[in-house]
Amino acid sequence: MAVNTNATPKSDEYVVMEKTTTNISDLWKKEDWMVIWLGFIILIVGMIIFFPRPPAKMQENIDKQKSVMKQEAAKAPFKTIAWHKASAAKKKIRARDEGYAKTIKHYLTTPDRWSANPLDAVYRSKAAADAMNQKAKPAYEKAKAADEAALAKATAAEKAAAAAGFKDPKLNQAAEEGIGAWLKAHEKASKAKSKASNKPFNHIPYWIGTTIVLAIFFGIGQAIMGASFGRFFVGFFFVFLFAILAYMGEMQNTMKHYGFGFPLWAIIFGMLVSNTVGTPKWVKPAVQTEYYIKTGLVLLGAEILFNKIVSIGLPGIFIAWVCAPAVLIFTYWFGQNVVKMPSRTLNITISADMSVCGVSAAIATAAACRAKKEELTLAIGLSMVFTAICMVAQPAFARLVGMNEILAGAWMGATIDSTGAVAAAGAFYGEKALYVAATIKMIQNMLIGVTAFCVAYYWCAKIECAPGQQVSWWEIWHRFPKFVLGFIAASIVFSLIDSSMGKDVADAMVNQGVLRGWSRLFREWFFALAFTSIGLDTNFREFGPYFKGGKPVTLYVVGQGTQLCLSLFMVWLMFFVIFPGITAGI
Amino acid sequence: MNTRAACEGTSISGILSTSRFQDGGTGDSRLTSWLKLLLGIALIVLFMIVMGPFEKLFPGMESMSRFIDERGIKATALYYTDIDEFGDATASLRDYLEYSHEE
Repeated sequence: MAVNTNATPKSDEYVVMEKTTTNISDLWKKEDWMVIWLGFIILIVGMIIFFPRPPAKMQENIDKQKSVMKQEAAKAPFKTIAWHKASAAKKKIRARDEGYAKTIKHYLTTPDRWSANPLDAVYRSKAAADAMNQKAKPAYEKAKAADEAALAKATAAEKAAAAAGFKDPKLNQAAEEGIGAWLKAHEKASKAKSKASNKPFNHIPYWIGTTIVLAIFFGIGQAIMGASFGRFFVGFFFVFLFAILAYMGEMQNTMKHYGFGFPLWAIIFGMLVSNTVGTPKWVKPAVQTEYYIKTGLVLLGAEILFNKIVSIGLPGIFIAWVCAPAVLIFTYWFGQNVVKMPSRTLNITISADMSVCGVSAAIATAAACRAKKEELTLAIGLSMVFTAICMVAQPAFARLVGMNEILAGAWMGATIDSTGAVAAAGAFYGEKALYVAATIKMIQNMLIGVTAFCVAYYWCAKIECAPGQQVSWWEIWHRFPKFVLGFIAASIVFSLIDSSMGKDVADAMVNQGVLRGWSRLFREWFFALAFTSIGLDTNFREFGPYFKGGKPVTLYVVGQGTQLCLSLFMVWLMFFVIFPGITAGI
Repeated sequence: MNTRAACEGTSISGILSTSRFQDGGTGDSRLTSWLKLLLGIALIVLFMIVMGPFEKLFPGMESMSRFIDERGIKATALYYTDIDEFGDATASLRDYLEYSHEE
């Protein structure tokens, strides 16, 4: 590869090109390898903590609830009250509810919600907690009474249906409706109970501890790679503080409604400092966007469990794994050939963000193709704005046209970018819509691994070479972003672990254990550190060229429009034409 | 032309971006820089606390906001493991499909 010998080291055109050699020392001196080791250390420690400590009598309790559900399913043509209670009891068996897991959560917790006083996110006195509980108590008592009344009504309707041997369709329907109403009232009562169960807290001591541990953890990695541990350690406190502020931005009550998450606030707050007073020089050693984001991505890899792809059978696979890649490829092609996007990496990042699953897909794709941080920022900004619109507009449209709950849920799951917004939109439409939307989106989330790998390969083999140049496998290996291997390896390891346990045990120990109770908590902080680093290292003016002609917006709108139409058609085809049996079973 | 370093593990963001790491800001006087920072903070606070609640002006937003508050849904979640509803919903759907009545 040539070096531009006409340019000087300070000019914009000068790019350092390394010689293509491989040394064993790359395994500890190169960032891409270091993030793999750091990520796997966290994952292994998590497994050591969680796996030997399952909830008491876990298997016995799971078997008991499964037996109840089997009996009830055999008895009645609808899901009875006992069936639902057993299903709920089985879901409550979670390793992350154990004492040791709750202690871990204290250290890795994010700021709490707040409205007008940001300090409410950091500290709550006992008096304040008691006042909140007192205020919420009347609503809880009301919801509890409604729950009990709904249960009594549902029980009576079910008894009536049972008396007829479950052979009277009218009585069965009345029972099913009564149970549906009870489930809604029960959900409302549960939420009201948690609003009346506020506890006092003080996050600051825990955050100080966490900052020190993470500063040492990442600092050791930096030192091994040849950087200064001391300088990194000191600067890290500033970056972590801004990550906390980013979360506080997210947890403001109104901002939560819009779905404006911590990535956006981290960038805004970071840019505010860097473009006014300037980021202090002593912070620079800790401003390491790629270091944090790649470590976070290795942890994210563990959450990609391939066996979840079959959660809802073939319809789920077709909708999430056929539609989304088709839209991604079409949008990228459209961006290159019609819109004529100025940057391929921006194009693919927006295409992945819009067609797969929003911010997390943007992060993985941008890292895989080495997009500029401004491009990642732009893709995320677009995604968040359009997600806020779709989260409200899509359920409203579905209601307007009287869309079936399963159809609406699957459509929203496949098309709304952000996972959280899918939950809000799905739940708003109905419980079954939520179940289907959540499952489809989860299957789509699994696509991140394949997307990152394919984009990384495509970029190394086809894009980063002269036209017509044939790139050797060895050259591809050299160019390939190695952290993607760690990302995929984590996914394979955890998928194998997940599938080796029974589904319910895996759910309790892996999904609701190591992942949600451990690695996910680290991963969120690492992404917050990464986006804070982006903000602290970005000039407003660098965004200017990207907005010329409104091309990113055009690309997003065309891609999203295509996805909305194609997904709706595919959902209808899969759930109502080809696999109606699955729909009937929901 | 800015070409990318096509080698594994090389971080290009530091090379390509304009460095912000300078004490004293962007060439403005210190006072101007600090005033800009304070103005930025004020605008953010204004958006969050004063303008943000005008979400009720957007059709459908008010009912969605109320719903999100009632259900405690984390609408800002990035991935399925970030949100409790997904864990419950997928487990429920699995139970629905596995423990269904057979005629």
